[in-house]
Amino acid sequence: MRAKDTSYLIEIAKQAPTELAKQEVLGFIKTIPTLPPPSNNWFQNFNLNSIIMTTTAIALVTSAVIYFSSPSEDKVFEPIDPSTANPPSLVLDSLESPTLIMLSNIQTDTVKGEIVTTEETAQISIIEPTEEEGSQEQVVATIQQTTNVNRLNATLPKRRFDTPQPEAAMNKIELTGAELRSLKKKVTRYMKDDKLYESDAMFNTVEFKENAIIINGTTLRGEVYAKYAQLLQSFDIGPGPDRRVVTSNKFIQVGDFTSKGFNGSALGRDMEIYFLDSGQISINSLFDRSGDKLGGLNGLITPSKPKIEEMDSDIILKTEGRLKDSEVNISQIERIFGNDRKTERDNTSKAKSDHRKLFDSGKEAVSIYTKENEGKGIDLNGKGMRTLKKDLYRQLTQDNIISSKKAGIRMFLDQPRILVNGNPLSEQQTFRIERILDRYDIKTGVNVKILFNPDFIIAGEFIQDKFFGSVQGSLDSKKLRGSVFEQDFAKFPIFGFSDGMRLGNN
Amino acid sequence: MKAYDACHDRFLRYCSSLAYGKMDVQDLIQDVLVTAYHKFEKIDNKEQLLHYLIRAARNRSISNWRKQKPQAELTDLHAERLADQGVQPETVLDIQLLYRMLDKLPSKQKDALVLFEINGFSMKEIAEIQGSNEGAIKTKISRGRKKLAALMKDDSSASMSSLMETLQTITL
Repeated sequence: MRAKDTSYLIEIAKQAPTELAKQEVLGFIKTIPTLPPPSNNWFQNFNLNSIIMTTTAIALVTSAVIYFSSPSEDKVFEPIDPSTANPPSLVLDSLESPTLIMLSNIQTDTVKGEIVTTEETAQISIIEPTEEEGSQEQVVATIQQTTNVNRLNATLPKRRFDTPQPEAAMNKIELTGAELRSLKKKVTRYMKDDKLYESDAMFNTVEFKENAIIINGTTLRGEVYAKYAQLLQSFDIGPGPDRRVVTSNKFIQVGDFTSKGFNGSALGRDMEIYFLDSGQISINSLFDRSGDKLGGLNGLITPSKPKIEEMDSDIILKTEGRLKDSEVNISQIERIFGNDRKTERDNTSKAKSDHRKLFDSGKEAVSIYTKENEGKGIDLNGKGMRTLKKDLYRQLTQDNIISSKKAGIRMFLDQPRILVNGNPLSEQQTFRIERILDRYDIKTGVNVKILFNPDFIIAGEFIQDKFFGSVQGSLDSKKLRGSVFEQDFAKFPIFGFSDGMRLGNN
Repeated sequence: MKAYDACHDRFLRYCSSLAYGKMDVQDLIQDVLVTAYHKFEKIDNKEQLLHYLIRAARNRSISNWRKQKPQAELTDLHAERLADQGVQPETVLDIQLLYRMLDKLPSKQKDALVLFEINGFSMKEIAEIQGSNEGAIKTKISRGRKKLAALMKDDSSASMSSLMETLQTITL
């Protein structure tokens, strides 16, 4: 048997008449106009079967959701020994006159083994109508429930109140992310204006108490206090014994820093909680230094974990947990003092060799002390003196007290107002200057002066013919003669300029 | 009517190959023609009615295959109709053998081969119908031919072995 030739078969199929005759098809085509047009309704795909199946499935799912989502009504009723049962006390609202209700022969047949029969006198206590509607409904609902199960509950349900909220919780600080950002921006600006801002690397603490605001250890009162208090109250932040606003360049925390922990709102990263513990500042890292927002969180706060809310890709932290013990003690941070002190003899010899110029290299300050006055006055190294001059110039320029940073400044740190070139500063200007001076541990007082121009700076006490303080820069008798500083140096032979000036005059 | 007149032979042969063993060709043709009649006004190029019919028949056959399983009665009905047209039984068997073998080819190859060999379309026309290009159609036809020849050879071998088994059974 030979395989059929493909071409042969194809040729047969090609030559064979069609399965249906042409007349037959044309006859059908003639009948098409009489046929109804095909419907294009999309819902023709739905039939009774699909409708029944879909409806059943939806009903099953809905009933399952309702069943599993409804709260369980199971209640356990323990039988009560009538001998130990207390007389019931009914607490009813809105009774005009005292009434006695006799509860007698209350017997239940439906609850097997738990039938309680008792005869007691219910004592009615009248109370004032309460404003809490929820409480009224709760009492009514409980009584109805007891009736329904045909049991006598010997101790009628007492009125239940919501757990009383502590006072601190009532004044709880809950700020949004936008509010926290705005507060941080404004507080930082205020602190920078008032020279209370530590630095970007350090944190700044604003303690808001009833009668004072303490910023980084500086107590504010009067106008400055009012300014900060108004700002904080605009964010619904009231005063409190442990109420603080802590900011850094990475975060802001607003709330109560108690021994139990932090209670408030916070926003930022690399967050740390700072709180005072027995007079020392402790640091508690909530987040590790690597910037992992959640990585270092667990385990650091006990017993309750903080609530973290994501907001605008930042983190709001609210916790009432106890903080971890201190790891870093800031009190151990050392202040760097200048060690180089030149004696009076060195200074005078240098002055003689340099045409009565008191001069140093610019890197070191000259502190003039005797054995009697050592440890008194203003003691700063060269770097400190230079930065002090720079800070003072900047602040005076910002406050429009001077127009140029090349001007000679005679600053008298008298109480209560500081005098600059004979003009008293305003309260706020004085406050700002004092903040700068505090950073350098310079106290205001009578005879305390700071004299400076671009060439030098002298800060200390000028008492009679003695000077207790530090000098940095170049003092030239020729330049000083006729300057605003002439009267300051003329009376102080310790600098040697009294002679020098006379010589110069000659 | 006039438009269909010129299409009849080629349309019927294509539908026969499509419907063979799967559905009644009459049902297929009626479905396609009713649809074409109601959409006749929307057909832009009336001269290409045949192309439209072929595409419609193919789409309709695909949707019908999903609903309807192959039925043996359909092949008998096919044979009866051909016999009514005066076709000899041997020829009917040959045609059915061809359709059966064509049905084993990939659908695109089968379509191209049927349209080219049986219906006599040019490669360009087939490319237009299938939305392809002439090169691809040429490839499909070439591969289809080779595969069809191989299928025919295999079928012949199977028939021979089946016949030998039958003879052995009779001898024993």
